[in-house]
Amino acid sequence: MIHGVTKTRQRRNSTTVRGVASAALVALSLALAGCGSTADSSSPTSAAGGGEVLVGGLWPQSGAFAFNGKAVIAGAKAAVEDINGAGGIKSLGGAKIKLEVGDAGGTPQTATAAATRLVGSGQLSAMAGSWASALTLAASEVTERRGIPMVSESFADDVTGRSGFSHVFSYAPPSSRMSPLIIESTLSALSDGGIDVKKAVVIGDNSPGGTPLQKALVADLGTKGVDVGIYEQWTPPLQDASGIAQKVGAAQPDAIFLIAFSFADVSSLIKEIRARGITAPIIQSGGQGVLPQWRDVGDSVIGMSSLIYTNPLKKSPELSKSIAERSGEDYAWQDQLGGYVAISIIAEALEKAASKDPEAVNKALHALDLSSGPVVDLLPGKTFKFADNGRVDPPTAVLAQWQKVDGKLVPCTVYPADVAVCEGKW
Amino acid sequence: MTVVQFIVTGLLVGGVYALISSGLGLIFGVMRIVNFAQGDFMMLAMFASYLFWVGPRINPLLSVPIVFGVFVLLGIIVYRYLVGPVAGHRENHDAQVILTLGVGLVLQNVMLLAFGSTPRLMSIPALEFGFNVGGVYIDGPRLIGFIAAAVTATVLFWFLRHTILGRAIRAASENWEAATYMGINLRKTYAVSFGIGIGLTAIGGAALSMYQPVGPFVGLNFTVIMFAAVVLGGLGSVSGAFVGGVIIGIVQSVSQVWSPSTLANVYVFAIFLIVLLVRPQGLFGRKQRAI
Repeated sequence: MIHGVTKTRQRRNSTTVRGVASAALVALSLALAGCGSTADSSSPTSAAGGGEVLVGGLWPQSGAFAFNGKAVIAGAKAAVEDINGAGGIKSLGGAKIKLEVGDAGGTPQTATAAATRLVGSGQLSAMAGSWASALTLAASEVTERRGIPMVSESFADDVTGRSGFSHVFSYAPPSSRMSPLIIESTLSALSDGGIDVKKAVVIGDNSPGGTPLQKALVADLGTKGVDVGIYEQWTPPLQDASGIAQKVGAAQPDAIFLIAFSFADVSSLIKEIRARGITAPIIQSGGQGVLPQWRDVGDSVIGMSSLIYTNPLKKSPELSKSIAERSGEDYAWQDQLGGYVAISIIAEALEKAASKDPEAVNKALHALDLSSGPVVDLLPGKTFKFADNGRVDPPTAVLAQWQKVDGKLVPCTVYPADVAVCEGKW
Repeated sequence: MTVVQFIVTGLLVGGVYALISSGLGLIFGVMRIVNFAQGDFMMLAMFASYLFWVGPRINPLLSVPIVFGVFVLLGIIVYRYLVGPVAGHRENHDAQVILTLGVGLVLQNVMLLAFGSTPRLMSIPALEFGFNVGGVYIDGPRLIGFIAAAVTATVLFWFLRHTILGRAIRAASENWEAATYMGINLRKTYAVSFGIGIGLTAIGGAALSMYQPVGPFVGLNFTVIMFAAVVLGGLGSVSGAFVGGVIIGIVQSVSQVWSPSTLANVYVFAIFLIVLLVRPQGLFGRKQRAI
């Protein structure tokens, strides 16, 4: 297992050895790092010695999701730097990870073409990507056919567990679990803050990604005894937000669930809502709720929250800070952390597989069961493993809330309590 | 009270729609050019306002005169070197359409390269205000946008009726051949009209940037509104484009009183179709097009 990579970065140029000697050296080096690794005792001992392990990274660098894709790549590159700096994949004789980055573009067609190019070399051991569910679904068609495991951050249920697919994994919770996660986290956090939510509104765009979650929220809130004052949708792009803001104000909700995926729509709507003096907490879903562009909105963004699969956590402040610095940002959000997690997961699987063969790596991913290391440090769960369908088990998420920390607006983790960095302010 | 609230909101929003549409109406009225890049010039003006704010901290309201001047000049240059040579004095619709679509695509992608795809929203404390009048909420930025539209309309109509250049523009709009016989320099008149048309939309863009996020593709969102307003008001009629914009704003807003927001534009286009069925030349259009 890979532990304390930042502490062990100085130990470069591991000796290339084979067989039992390799496994013994791996166990020894991990023990020296003080990480208490146990997994390597079960690793295969037939390591392919040294050299490089090619890992594909297919994220959007152009098109509508380019901003997010580039942030993920920055995180992935930081992970590669740390892993290689710590001696590479020890069960492979210190083989260094080489990240082959492709541009998934903005459409399934561009993602398919880029995935085809990446796997064309026949040298990839695994692939990570592709941020947007539509891109991941398209790219994973290519990787699955070639038997290359793909590790993704995409939410859509269909990303994992499709019939005939056994090489696709996701460390983000599935869309169908988002509604219970949002309600559980929000109602608990608000209750802790002294707000008893009796009436809520659910608003959002009528996109294929948003509508099922909004409907699930309306139903689930009802079962929790929360009166859904209005359920209102719009067709993106939202030309003028004042009408919806007017309706939200008239409903006088205790909480506003805002499920939409266009920053332009959401930001203008929030400004409208706040301008009308509506102070009810606004809860979003997804990574667009924590983008640095929200700082442009100013202080009216304070208190806005978003449920995301991860955010800087109490258990790993140094690593999050280091990733942010290497990304050229003053804080790391879900995207950079996700990139780091994806590569770390693949590195753990390579370590366990002791092989560059994609099938062996796939098998190792299915068997992965981590209780420490960067993957566990950067995700909210206490352990990390994939269910049989390739989805993180159990699905976890955090609630990040925009707050002013040290004079700067940042999305700060406020729920769950064991990983929270800030106290929720409602 | 709810209906009054939505009417007032629609009126204020419609003011900005009127501004962005009037430029398109003027360009079509004078030159019969359907400028598919109009929305992208609006986007460019929004970026200009944004840059004035993030740079020298000039708020969009104060940057309007500069933005207008710059965009009139830009419009004249675009007409002189791109649109004019293609359009000529005659109606050369196919080439115009392809050219303006191309200009729009170039503008979008240049801004995409320069600023990325993520929209940017200005936060200007001085413009973030609103107040209640008899229980009706008046949103500050939209009120400013509406006032800007009213002032611009007044100045524009005065210019068109009481200045030599304005009269030349109207004459060219009425009958370009007769205008030529009267000694009007059509090339110059067209270039100035195109410039003013772009400048009017730029004022609308600056007003819109006070509450609408700025991004490379924002123009596309409003192009349909512009065309609907121009056709609804009457092709070639600047006053019609103004009224068309206001009607669209009110219909979009008031329809939300009784139906989901998703259907707001359905009502707009239902009314649009009814008007065109009853009065094909639009509300203020004449069968012989003129401004």
